[in-house]
Amino acid sequence: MVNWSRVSILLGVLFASVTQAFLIDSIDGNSWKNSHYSRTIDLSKSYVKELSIIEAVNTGSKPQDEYYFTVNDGFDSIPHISLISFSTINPISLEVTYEELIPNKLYKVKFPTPISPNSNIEFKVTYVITNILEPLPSKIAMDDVQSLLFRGNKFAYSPYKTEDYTLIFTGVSKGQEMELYLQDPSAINVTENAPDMKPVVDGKTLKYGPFVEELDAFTLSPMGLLYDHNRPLTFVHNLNRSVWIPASNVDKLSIEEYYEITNNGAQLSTGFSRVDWLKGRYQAVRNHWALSQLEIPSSASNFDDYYFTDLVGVVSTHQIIKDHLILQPRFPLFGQWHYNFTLGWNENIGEFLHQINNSEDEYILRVPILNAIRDASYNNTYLSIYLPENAEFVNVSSPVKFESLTVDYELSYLDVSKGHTKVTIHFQDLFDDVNKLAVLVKFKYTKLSYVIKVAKISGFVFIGLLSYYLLSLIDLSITDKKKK
Amino acid sequence: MGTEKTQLKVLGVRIETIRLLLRVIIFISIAGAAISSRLFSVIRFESIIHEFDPWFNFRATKYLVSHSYYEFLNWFDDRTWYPLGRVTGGTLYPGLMVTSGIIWHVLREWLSLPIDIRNICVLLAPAFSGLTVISTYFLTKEMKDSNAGLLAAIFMGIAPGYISRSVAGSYDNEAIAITLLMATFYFWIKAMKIGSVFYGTLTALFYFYMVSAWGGYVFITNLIPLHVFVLLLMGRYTHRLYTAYSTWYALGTLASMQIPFVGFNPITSNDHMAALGVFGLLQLVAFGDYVKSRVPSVQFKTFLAVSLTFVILLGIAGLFGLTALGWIAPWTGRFYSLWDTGYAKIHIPIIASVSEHQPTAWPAFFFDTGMLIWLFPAGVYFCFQELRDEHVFIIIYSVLCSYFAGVMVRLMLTLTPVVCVAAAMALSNLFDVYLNIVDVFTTSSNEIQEDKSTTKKSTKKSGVLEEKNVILPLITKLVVTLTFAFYLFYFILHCTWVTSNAYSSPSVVLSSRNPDGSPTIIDDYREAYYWLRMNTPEDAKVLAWWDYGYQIGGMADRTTLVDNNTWNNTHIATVGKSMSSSEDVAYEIYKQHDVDYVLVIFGGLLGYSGDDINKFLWMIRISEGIWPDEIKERNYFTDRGEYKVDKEASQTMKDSVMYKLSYYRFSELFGGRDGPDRVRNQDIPAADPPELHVLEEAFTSENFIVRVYKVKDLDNVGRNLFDATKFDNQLSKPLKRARTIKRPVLPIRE
Repeated sequence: MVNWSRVSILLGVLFASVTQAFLIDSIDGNSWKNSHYSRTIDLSKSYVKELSIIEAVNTGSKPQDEYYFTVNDGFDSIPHISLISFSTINPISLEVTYEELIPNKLYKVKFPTPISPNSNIEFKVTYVITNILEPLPSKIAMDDVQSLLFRGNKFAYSPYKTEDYTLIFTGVSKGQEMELYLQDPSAINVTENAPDMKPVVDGKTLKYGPFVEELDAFTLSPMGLLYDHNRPLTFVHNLNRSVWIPASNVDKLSIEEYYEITNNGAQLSTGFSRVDWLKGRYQAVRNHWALSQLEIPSSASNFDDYYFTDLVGVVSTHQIIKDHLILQPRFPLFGQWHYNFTLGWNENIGEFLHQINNSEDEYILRVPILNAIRDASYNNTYLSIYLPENAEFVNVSSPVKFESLTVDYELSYLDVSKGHTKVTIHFQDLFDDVNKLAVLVKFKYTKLSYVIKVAKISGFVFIGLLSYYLLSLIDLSITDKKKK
Repeated sequence: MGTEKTQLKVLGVRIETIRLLLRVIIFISIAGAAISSRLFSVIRFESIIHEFDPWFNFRATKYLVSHSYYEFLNWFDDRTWYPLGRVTGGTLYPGLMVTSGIIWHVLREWLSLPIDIRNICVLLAPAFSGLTVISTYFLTKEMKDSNAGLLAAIFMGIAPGYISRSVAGSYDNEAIAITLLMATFYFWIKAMKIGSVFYGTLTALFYFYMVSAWGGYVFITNLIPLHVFVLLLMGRYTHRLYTAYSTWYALGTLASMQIPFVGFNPITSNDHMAALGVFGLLQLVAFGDYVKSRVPSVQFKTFLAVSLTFVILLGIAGLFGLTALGWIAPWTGRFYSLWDTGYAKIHIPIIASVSEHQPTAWPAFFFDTGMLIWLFPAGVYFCFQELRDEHVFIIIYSVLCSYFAGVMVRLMLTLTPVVCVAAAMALSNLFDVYLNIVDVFTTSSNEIQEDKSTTKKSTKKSGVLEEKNVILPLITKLVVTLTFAFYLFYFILHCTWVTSNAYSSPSVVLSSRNPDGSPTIIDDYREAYYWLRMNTPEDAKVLAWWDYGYQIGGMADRTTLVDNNTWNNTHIATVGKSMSSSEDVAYEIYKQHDVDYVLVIFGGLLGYSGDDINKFLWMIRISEGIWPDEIKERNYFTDRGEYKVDKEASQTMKDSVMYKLSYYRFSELFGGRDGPDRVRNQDIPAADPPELHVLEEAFTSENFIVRVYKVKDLDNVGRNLFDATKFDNQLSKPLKRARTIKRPVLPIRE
């Protein structure tokens, strides 16, 4: 059994990689040329944001509207792309549809109008990469500065030829280029005669280029950038976000979130010394790589009434400062230290739930996918929506691709039938800015099912009282009452 | 008169109905008062389990609700007493856990209220205090009347002596045991009074519940036989007594043997022999009674004398013989310390080291029962006056418990109910007389009638006299009543104050005040325990003094070496030895016991007096009991015999692991000056700070209350750890930084 499944996995992997290579090779490299390619990599956060502005010329003979975009990688340094979006800039700005051919690698972009031969189109691609930064050295003392290593391709990894290429790093206060030690250099196609580019410091950025000569398609030159980043790498392994919709006319929507977080930054080289921690006043300093507080913007949410607990009870260190809710874990988190907690609060239901216009019992719920912890990336996010008991789930619409959608039931307080309908949407690899996006959930809930529930509960109470009365009629006494 | 009474109606409702209604309202109010006064800690802090033992009960309850009942009874806990483990299922009283487990299941499955098990555990004690109030009412009603019953109920509801063990969060055996104690006593009195098999069975049933819930059941096991015995001596044998006792003893004993922890104790242990003896005696007396009714009295006297001597001799010989043969277990240490307060200190320091096993200070009686403590003797006096069979019970109970409560602080708990009952009887007697104003007026009107029949002349005179007669008793009654009303009012204030200030702190969380006077919470225990839970390997073994064993098991979820179930003195002494000896001796113990982390409690920075340095003498004494050659208490004192931790501290003290762990890098906080220890008011010298060689600091909580150290591995180039540390310290700073410690990268935890 085990062997067979292994073999099939192996076969699957082999098959997938073969098709992938085949797909990439099948792209016609002469149909487009990148006349201008500028990459801006933002390293100011715990995840990496890349913005590519591409001006492409149709070098083919026919008008065409399909452009293949490859993520600027080429040597599997990017494990996962969190969120990618394409939009045209020139001649018009429009969101562009795309098709994912190979996840995290190859995308097929379809422009709104076909581009005639020798015409230009300028468009931008933004994507976010999580889980790519690693601290180097991985163990440091408490008063050291944490430095992170970014690995990436120095050039554009495009199926088309590129002219006028620029690479800009922002959010770096101090950094240096590093040659990467590659485990198996023969496995990747490092471009032999890749041109040498030297960086210049330009304002607050580190700039490579512009490089005006023509670059071959799929130019690959792995580079590492080691830079100072004295902020924690907040990483949420699992976030269970549950939204409870009340059945009655309570105007509150209760939201509860359970987080399992880790600081992915550098580890402490010794044990944790409270004396050093107090002496350095790191608790008060915002720029320290230990994660000692979590900031959640409170402008979007209604934190008038919230609770912050973990598995051993209430955590008392929390406050609202200006428009941020500051949660302080029980202890500061150094690299690879874990913590988990629950945060819950109530929202006014009017801002989230709407009845569909000409329908009596159809509702739409609009909830943000996330509640943003500043500068955090999220591995698994389970957004669970608890519809009232007997509600019927219709469908869901999400701006972000989700892994799975499950509908089941959970028994909660005074649930006398099969329980609350629980709709769980599983997202992967998100980051804090996703909280601006929201999912829409449509469901049906009739007045009748509410009445049935209430009637059922009162029925049970009545039966209970009645049976008590009937039982009290039975005379169990041993002595004869009449004699008394 | 009698017919008139039945017709009494107020607004068309029968007076009895109104009385019943009032009684129900009073009960609800009393139960409300009893429950709400126990909620201070939930309101001030949160719904949290308190202290130490409740953490174990809570953990066991969680195990019970997540496993089946049989798994629970067979539970072998390998997370405590490492490497021995504990047969938890067979060494606990399951009553408490089963009770909350049943409540949890009923709420969840029958009433669709899936309440968190923690909240059930936290609120169990207050809920049961409501039931205690009711059973106290019935018990006192049997003693006197329902007025006294209501008074006793309100006293029981708010007396601090009982609240101390039943505030919300104090999830301990006593929380339900006192309810069961009162219920058992009530049913016993009832059974004894009417000689009913039914009530005898109920007594046995509640006795069984009590046995399943608390080790203090032995108190019932001895008190009821004693009651019967005294009644027999008073010549008050009746068939009712025979029926009640035989039913209770036979059923109760069989039932109690069903609890695994009790097992065959009821027929082998000395604690239970009184009950068995009285059972036998009762049979003989019953037989004697039968004989007496059949033979002339002279012959009976001879028969009595001969058989009595014979039986007593046989009984004593049997007891000694069986104990000597080992058939009957001798009395336990806690039992001996009941009779000789000095016994524990000499023979079993571990029992004496528990603060609740200390003798009670006199003010504690007033503190815990308020004005009831001086009404209590009056109540007992009234019992003597009337001296019905049930009064004998109260007298015995009060005499025994007054003594026990004087010996051990924690037995205040068993004294409190009888204090409430007796005080209520006294007060109700008083009120019976002084609240009865009708008396004054009835006599006066009679006199007026009499006066009218006599001559006119004397009418005036006697009329004046009469007015005096009415006013004077009225004033007396008013004064007495108002005084007692004031006392009662003051009593409620006292109870509330004591409950709020003394008994409502979870002790896991400490409350304090900021410099600006705003309240703040000191949460060091949970901080450190949670760090252990999140950031140490799941099979890490934590060495700490036994006080914290249950908390570490409950909150940090890590294996401990010793805990509050102090069943193995040697193991505890081993831990004590590792704390009180030097590093190399300790390291050997650590390696032998696979210790990964050492945890100490240190209050010197904050002024938290319940810390390990203050408990240190007990650790020394306990380990000295096992290793008198290696650990000597004298060496830890200065030459003048003082317990010092400052620069005058003895060398042995300074070398001890406990001292080092507590004060490691402590004076650095004060920038080169000596560090003031705010508990002991001594200055820790900044020069010559304690150095650690076999341990390294792993975590220290915010206010230094909990300090966790990691035991170093054996050196990888074979040096001994003292040389290795010295070498590391000699290295220049940048190099030292480069030295990294292997710490496994851990998966996330729940």
